[in-house]
Amino acid sequence: MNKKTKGAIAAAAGGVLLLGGVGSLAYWSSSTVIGGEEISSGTLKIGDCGNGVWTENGVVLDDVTAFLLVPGETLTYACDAAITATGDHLTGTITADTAGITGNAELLAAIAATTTVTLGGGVLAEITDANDGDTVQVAVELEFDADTELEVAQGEKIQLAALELVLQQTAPH
Amino acid sequence: MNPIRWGILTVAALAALAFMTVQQSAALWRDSTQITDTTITSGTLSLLVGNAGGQSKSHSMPDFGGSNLYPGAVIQRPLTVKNAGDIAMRYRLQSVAQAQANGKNDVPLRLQTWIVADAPACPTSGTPPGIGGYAGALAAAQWPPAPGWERLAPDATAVWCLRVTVGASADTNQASVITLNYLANS
Repeated sequence: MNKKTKGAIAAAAGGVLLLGGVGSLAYWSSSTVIGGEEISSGTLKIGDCGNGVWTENGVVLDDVTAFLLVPGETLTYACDAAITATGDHLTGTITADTAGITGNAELLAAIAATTTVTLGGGVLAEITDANDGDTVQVAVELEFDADTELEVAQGEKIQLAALELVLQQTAPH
Repeated sequence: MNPIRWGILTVAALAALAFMTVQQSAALWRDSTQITDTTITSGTLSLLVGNAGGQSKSHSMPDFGGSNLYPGAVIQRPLTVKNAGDIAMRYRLQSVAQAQANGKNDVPLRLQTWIVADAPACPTSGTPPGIGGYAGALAAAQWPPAPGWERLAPDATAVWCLRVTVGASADTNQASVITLNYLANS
């Protein structure tokens, strides 16, 4: 038998195997509807919080850009944000994301941000479905490290255009 | 397939699974809002010392000294302290260092300070019309005593009247160099 003949036989055998495989899909099968109900996803949104007020040590600053910050001082930005949160087991947290802030390196390194969320005067550590429709009070504190020594970070600037308030879902329990 | 290949495939599968797990946990819902678009500026703290005509970070006072002094001799000179920064400043005379000069023994010295209205209010002798401050051994001088501070607004100056008196126990052929250190804080 020459090589062409052997090749033809091999191709035919492959075809038989393929047909056998196709044939296996034709076994009996049956199905039934198990649902009929809709499944809906929840929601998680934080509203605009750009209407806030800057304070330092409880004193309102009409123009924060004119304030000269020194080590040990803390600037606080307070605003109200509407929450949309639906989901039976939904949980989330609100934090200020400072990653995108730009400016002079020494001052950037000396500033630490903390975020406090309150509702009705009480601290709200976690956003849940129960907070859907609530307006929470958010305070972002920017603290200038009191241990900043000598003449470090003097006369420097940081731009807060990229400072964001983030509502992040936490892993379902 | 040999054991080594199975091992590689297993590790690869686990790595892929782990990667997918991490990706999933990072893919939870997230919403954000910009909260402000402003700039924050830090202040500048700068304390300078000198005379009425000008100040610098380090100032030499060659006229605040003398030769052939004797026990009880007095040297009195004004020193201008300036807040050259843009924030309110707290400051004090933090310390005074006394060093031997030309290998000679230290002169026993006493220091007195006043804060006066201006340089002319600090004559070369006599008690100046001002607010009294430190009075005691030069080497232990500090005024106001910590944690106290004097205060100066931006661009403001204060004139200190400094008096050094040679101690009664001063011996002959002694010499000293003194350095006053001012400390400023925001």
